[in-house]
This record gives sequence, structure tokens and C-alpha cells, in this order.
Amino acid sequence: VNDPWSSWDAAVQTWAEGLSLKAGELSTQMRSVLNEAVAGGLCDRGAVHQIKWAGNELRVSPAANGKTVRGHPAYQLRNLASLEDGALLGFVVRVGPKGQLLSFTVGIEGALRTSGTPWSARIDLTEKPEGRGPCGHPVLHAHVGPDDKAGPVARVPIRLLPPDQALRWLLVTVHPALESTA
Amino acid sequence: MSRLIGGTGTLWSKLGVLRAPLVVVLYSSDGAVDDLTAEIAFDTPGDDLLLTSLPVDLAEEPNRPLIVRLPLRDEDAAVQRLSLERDRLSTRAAPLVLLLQTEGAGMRALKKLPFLISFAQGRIVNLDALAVADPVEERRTFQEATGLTPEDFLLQRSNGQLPDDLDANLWAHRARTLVESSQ
Repeated sequence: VNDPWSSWDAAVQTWAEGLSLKAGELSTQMRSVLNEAVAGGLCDRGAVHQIKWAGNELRVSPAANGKTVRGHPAYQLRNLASLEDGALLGFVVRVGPKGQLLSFTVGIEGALRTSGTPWSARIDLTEKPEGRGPCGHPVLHAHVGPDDKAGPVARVPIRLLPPDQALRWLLVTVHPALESTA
Repeated sequence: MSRLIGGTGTLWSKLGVLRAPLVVVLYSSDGAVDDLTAEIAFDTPGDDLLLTSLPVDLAEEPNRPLIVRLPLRDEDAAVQRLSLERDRLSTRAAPLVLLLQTEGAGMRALKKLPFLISFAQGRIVNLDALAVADPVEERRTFQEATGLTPEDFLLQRSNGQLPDDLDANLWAHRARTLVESSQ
């Protein structure tokens, strides 16, 4: 029986390796989405400029107003429809020397406005699959759920989203009003 | 590809803009120079600098840094015109920051204009070179934050000893970069 997860991995890897991303263009694309968040009052105006390249990685810069538990730079969001103020948005994108997309993570973590329950969503592109089958980690997947302690965090198959579109998808998920501004 | 490292403050000081009448910044992609100008404009708001294209009036606002991006198809001619006005550079208190394409017509023209290029006093900065990450500093920062070497971090992660959360996944990318760069 053809394993749908494996065949999808091959398609994703072909797509990612075939991209020809230019550093400046990629950061411009990410800024464009962040600009929508700024316009929506979801983050500081400076967020648009608080991204930086370091080697082959595009990251949120340490100047951003938030940090993850081990201090990775992130943005603190506010005024989200679904999540309480203080939700964290972070990303890293790794690009190869020919502009191929090596890997990325874009994620949001926060607490639901309705209940205070932890909630997170994250899209990961990894260089190889981690685990197999429906609860493994195909090379491109999304995690959606409370958090990895409370579970269940569904591993969701996802379309071929480049990092900026992944960022946009996450923001729209927690703040649907952004969809109408695109 | 060009990548900027550090904030604009770092970049600004690396450019040494206050120490030469002319600073030449070489860029290899439109996006990279867009990043640079956007960052500089954001961190130096309002009246502190002029961000402009041609025509350049070097006598205008001599106390404000003047950042000029020349049109690609006119880089050569624009540099020639600038050369004719080069004496005005010495009357400026603030520098002219000239953005030129790496290996472009403007840079080729500039190399043939020693009087103009002498104003740069060696301040020719390549954005690509500026953006090279320092692996020693990156590794130090990583270990300080996570308490683990990048190798141990990836090992613990693959063994399921780290949470599968945003934090761990963000750091994992840097760990991979560091491990690959040390091989």
C-alpha cells in the first residue's frame, strides 16, 4: 500500500529544494505579513523591522518585545480575537546557498480568551521526517492544540506554504479579521 | 545573497558613517538593500537623515547623513555626475552613504575615479560580508540560553527529552546550523 505520508514528504522536499529564495525578498515577504499585524494593532510598530538574518537564518531579532522560555526572541501579540494578550509569535527560516528552503518554524503560543487554556499552533518544515505515520512528523506539518503537555496536539497535514504564508495562516487563525485586510 | 546581522545600531557603527565623508555600501540584491534602508529609516526616524535617490544635492542639509540609492540602469552616469560635485563632499558635516550594486556599473565607474573614491577613506562595505554570522558567538549565545551544546540539544531532542514546543523548535534550527558549520 502506498504510504501517503512518505509520498507527501518527497513532494515537499522537491518543492523546498526547488525554491530559489532571495534573502532580501524573503525578509520583505515576512515584513509584509508583519505589517498587516501591526496595522491590525496586534504587535508593536517596530516588529516589522525586528527581524534579522544571521548566516543562513532569518529570525526574530533580540530587539523584539518577547522571549520564549529559553530566551529565543519572539513577539508579544495583543488584541488577538482568540488569544489573551501576551501570546508569543516566533519564527526561524533557514535557507541554503542556492536559495533552497532548508527548514523553518513559525509558531504562536498563548492562552485562549474563553478559558485561559494554553493553545499553540506551529508549522514546521524539517529536513527529514521525524517519526512515521499519522502521528509522526512529516517534513512539513502543523501542530495545533493546547500544548505538548496537555494534548492532544494534532499533527495536521498542510499545503505547500512558504514561511510568509505560514505566518499569515497562523495570524489569521487567531485573528480572523486579518483575512479581510489581505 | 545579502543578509544583515545585528541591529541597525551595529550596522550603522560598522558602516562608520560618522568617520568618512563618503561611505560606499555594496549590495547584491534589491531586497537586501530594501532591508537596509528600511532598518536605517526606522531606527533613525524623522529629521536625522535623508533617504533619497537622484538628483543629489550635496549642498542640501549638510548636517544630515544622506543615503543615496542610484538607479541601476543609471549607476554609471550617476557616479560620474557625483564625481563632478565631489568637492562639495568636503563641505558636508554628515556623510553621503552611497548604495551601489556589487560588481555593478556604478562600482566599476567608481574604481576609475580615484579622487571621488578617496573621500571614502577605505569605507567600502559589502553587505554580504557584514552579514556573516560569528559561529563562536552564536554557539556561546546558544549554550547560555539552552544550557546545552548544540550537539547535546539535538541529541536530547531526538530522544524526546525536550518538550516539543515553540521554544525548542526555534532553537533546534540554530543548533542544526551550528552543528553543520562545525563539521
